[in-house]
Order: sequence, then C-alpha cells, then structure tokens
Amino acid sequence: MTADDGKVPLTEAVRELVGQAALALDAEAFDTFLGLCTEDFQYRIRVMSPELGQEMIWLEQSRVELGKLFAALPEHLTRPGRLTRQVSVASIHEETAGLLATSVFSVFHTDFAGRTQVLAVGRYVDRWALDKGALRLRERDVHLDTRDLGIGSHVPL
Amino acid sequence: MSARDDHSWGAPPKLPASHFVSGTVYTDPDICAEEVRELFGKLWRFACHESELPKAFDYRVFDHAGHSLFCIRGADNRIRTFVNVCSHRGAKLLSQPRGNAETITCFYHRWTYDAEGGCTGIPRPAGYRGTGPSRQAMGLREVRTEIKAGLVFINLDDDSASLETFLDGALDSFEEALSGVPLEVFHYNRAELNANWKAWHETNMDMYHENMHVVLRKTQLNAMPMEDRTMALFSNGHGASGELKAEYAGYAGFAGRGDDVPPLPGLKSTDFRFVDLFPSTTILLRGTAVRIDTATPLGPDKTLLEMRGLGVKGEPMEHRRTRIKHHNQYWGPFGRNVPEDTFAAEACAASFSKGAARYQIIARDENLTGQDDAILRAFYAEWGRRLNRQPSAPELDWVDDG
Ligand code: FES
Ligand SMILES: [Fe+2]
Repeated sequence: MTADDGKVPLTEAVRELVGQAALALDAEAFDTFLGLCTEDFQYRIRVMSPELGQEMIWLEQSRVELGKLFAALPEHLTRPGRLTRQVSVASIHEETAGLLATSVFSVFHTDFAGRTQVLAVGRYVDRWALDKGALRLRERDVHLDTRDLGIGSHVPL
Repeated sequence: MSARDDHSWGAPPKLPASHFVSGTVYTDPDICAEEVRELFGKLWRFACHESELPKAFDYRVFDHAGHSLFCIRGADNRIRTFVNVCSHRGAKLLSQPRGNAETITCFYHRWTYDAEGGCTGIPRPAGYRGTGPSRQAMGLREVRTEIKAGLVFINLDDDSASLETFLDGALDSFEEALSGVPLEVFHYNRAELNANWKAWHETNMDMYHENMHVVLRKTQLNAMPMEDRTMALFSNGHGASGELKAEYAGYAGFAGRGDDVPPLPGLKSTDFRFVDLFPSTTILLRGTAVRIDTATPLGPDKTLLEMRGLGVKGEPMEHRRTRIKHHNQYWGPFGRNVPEDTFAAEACAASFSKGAARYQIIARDENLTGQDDAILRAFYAEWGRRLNRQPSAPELDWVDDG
C-alpha cells in the first residue's frame, strides 16, 4: 500500500508521522499534534496494576476534550521544564481500516537546571487511517510501564 | 508593608503558638522516627478496601510504619492482617502485592502458614525435639484489623482503643456514600514524593489552597457563599468539611459532569466533601467518584503516596467508564488537581529542607466556615500531644492550653 502520490510506502509515512507527533508534543505545539489526528481521534493512557490485578485507565480523551485540555494548560501549575520523547517504531501492520503501529517510547524530563531524568517508559499502540488522502492518527493507546510518575503530569505523554 | 531582614524572617511569628508550625517538623530525622513509632506505630490506619480481597485467601501486601504487612481473607470470610515475616528466621513471606494463597509457604525453609496466621507445617520437626519450636507456638504476628464502611483499618498497637473510639464519628457522614452500595477499587497509584508526609497531607487539610487549583477557582470558590460552608472537628485530630458545591460548567470540558452516571448514595453530582483522618488518610467524595489516599513517611523528605479511586461494584461498563473519567478529571497522575497538590508539597519541602523557610502559618480563623485553617490546627494539636512536642517549637514539650 502506498499513499496517494504512489511514491512513499505507507509504512514509511507512518514511521515519519510517529516521529512528527513526538516532536510536536515535545515542542508543546499541540495544534500541530491535533492536526495529525482524525476528527474522531481517541487518546488513552492504560496501566496494568499489579496491586489490583487489572488494567486501569488513567486518561481517556476525545480530540475535542484533548483540545480543551491543551488550551487550559497555561493556567495550570504544571511540571516545570520540558519533556523529550524518544520513540522507536517497532512494528507496522496493515488493517482493513488503515495501519496499526506499535512503538516503544521513553519520555525524559529536563528541569530548569538542565538535569534530565526518565519520567516514563511504555508503548504507543497507534491506529493510523487514510483520511481525505492523508494518513492521520485515529487512536493512540499509551500503555505505560512506569506507574510512579512522581508529582504526575498534566501533559499527555 | 516592607521586606524583612534575616532576624525578622527567622523569628517566630507573633501569633498564638497554635497558629504556626516550625519548619523543623518537616526536616528533623529524629522527629520523623518518633512519628513512625508514636503515630504510625500506634494509631489506626486505612490499609485497603475490602473489595480488594473479594474471595477467600485473597491477600494484599502493603507497607506500614516500616513494616511489610498483609491483609488476607480467611475461609470464614474474615479479613485478618499479619506482619509479612516468617516466624522462623525472619524472611519476608509474600513478595507480590496481591494474590491468593490458602497456604503461605516461606521460600526459605518451607515453613507453612494458613490464612488465620497459624503455623501449619515445619519440615522435619523432629530436629527441634527437646529445643522448643513447635507449630503451636510459631504462628504469625497478627495485627488488629477492623472494617468500617468497607474500609479496612489496621493497628500495630495491641493495647490501643477500638477503631470506633479512635474515629470519634469522623466517618459517620461518609458511611451512606461508602456503603449504601457496594464499591470497588478501579484506580490505584503509588508514587514517591520528595516531601515530608505532613506537607502532602496539609494539601488535603488546607481549604485555602483552593486558590491554587484553576479548576477550583472556576468551579468551587463561588459555588456557594463562604459563610455557608461548614467544617467539623473530632477527637484524635480528625477533621472534615461539610457539604461543598461545584458548578462544573465553569471549567471547559466539565459541564454536565455527573448527568450521565448516578451519584453515590446520599450525594448530588455537584456535592463535594472530604474527611482527613489522623494521621494521614483522606477520603474525598466528589458526587460520582471516591478517592482515598494515604501518605506514609519514608524519611523526613520522602513520602509514599498511595491513591485509590472507587466506583460502584457491578455497574454497567459505560457507567464505570464515565465514573473513571470523572475520577481522572481531578485525580490520578494525569488529573487536573493532584499534580498541583504534589507540586505544592514538593515546593514547600524544598524551601524548608535547607532552612530557607522557617515557619508556616495556619492562622486563618473563620469560625469553621469558608477557608478556616481549623483542620490544620486540630491536626498539629494532636501531633503535639502524641509526640509531646510543640509544633511551633518542637524542641519544647507540649503544653495543652485546651
Ligand atoms: S525463614 Fe521462613 S522457613 Fe525459614
Ligand atoms: Fe488540592
């Protein structure tokens, strides 16, 4: 399968888009990030609890809800510093409705003093769809391995 | 209005002793050790919710006062608690946070125990013939356990008063919401904070910090007249808010919160209420969702924070999903409020740790309405009595001025 122009294989395009999405989130360019998503985009953070023996949902947002969350961030008392996401696409499978991409990610936090620490690690399970000729992110399930996030985060990972 | 020099900054505030706290209470390692011994080692403490042990022989392991403990449901359906230590040579018995074990087998020399704490097996007991150890004498150390409104409380002190006496009615107005329908835990998060446990717990007791949370500024501050608010104080350092209100439409995305899932028994979706149980458990009811959190000292500047979210057991999937969403709007590591409270606790701890901050002021007196600091003062009075120290000058003995 290739994109409309027939030149770039879709798998390559997804690989690049996953990277672009990470860069947009790192830059807090949230409009750019949402621009990569479909109108019916769904974002979830899922975490397995060994204490409860079940999966938990720590955040679930539609595109509209995410837009409101992003817009409210400047008013919130958020973790100072910046986040850097390192994402490595591990597999891409074609599905009837698009492509399923699984990536391994780490999120690093760098404070104002320039000290960097790992904030979280996990996997993105993304569903990409061809939407009006362009590939867009329809669903992102963030499977978090890290459960102790210190003070927590207002910013989705 | 003027800035202050070091002398003025370091001098105790000109306030009654009950209205300020010395920074030493957050930083002194001896005080922290005393707190673990005298407060956490002697008082009733929330351990888990009974729904975490639904079946016979289900267990939950947790840390308390420097000990690993576990709650386990027996064949008789009773929940008991034991120190998670083998009677033989002290090995930690259970290493998973939860599980199911009709027989608990120590990995080391394979002594076995049952869910009532009895020692049921000692390999080659003949070797002890004549020296003493026997199954009858080698049971586990049981820890007092009582359940109130589905909440499992434990107490390491065999001589302390009952849970009912300790609570002094502080949970009474929460009972309907907590036990009117069966609840179960859907959210559990543990996180270590770089802050003293009291700095965290203060965020739960301090009404005035509503001003910090943008969500509360927009939905709660103006939802009812300040003078109509109430608070209640109980013996043993507990304090509770009366019914507070929220107008969710004030914060983008929160409008209509609660219209799509039934609130907890006795509550409207716009109701909010909390109780702070001494020393460090807080239960918050926000219309449709419950949060229970506990803070455990790991050192003067390290705290283990455990947070639970609860919903109605057996409710339809779509209700549960919505309830989880309501919980996550405010709470959890990605909530709007909790990361602000943790931020505040760490920010204050950083100031006190090296003496940049010397005192904190808890002098708001609004006659148990509005944003009174009364719950904070009740907490520190109990702290002072129990440790025989003045919170405002911890090097001095406690003086009870009534
Ligand atoms: S330490 Fe448990 S059997 Fe020896
Ligand atoms: Fe708060």
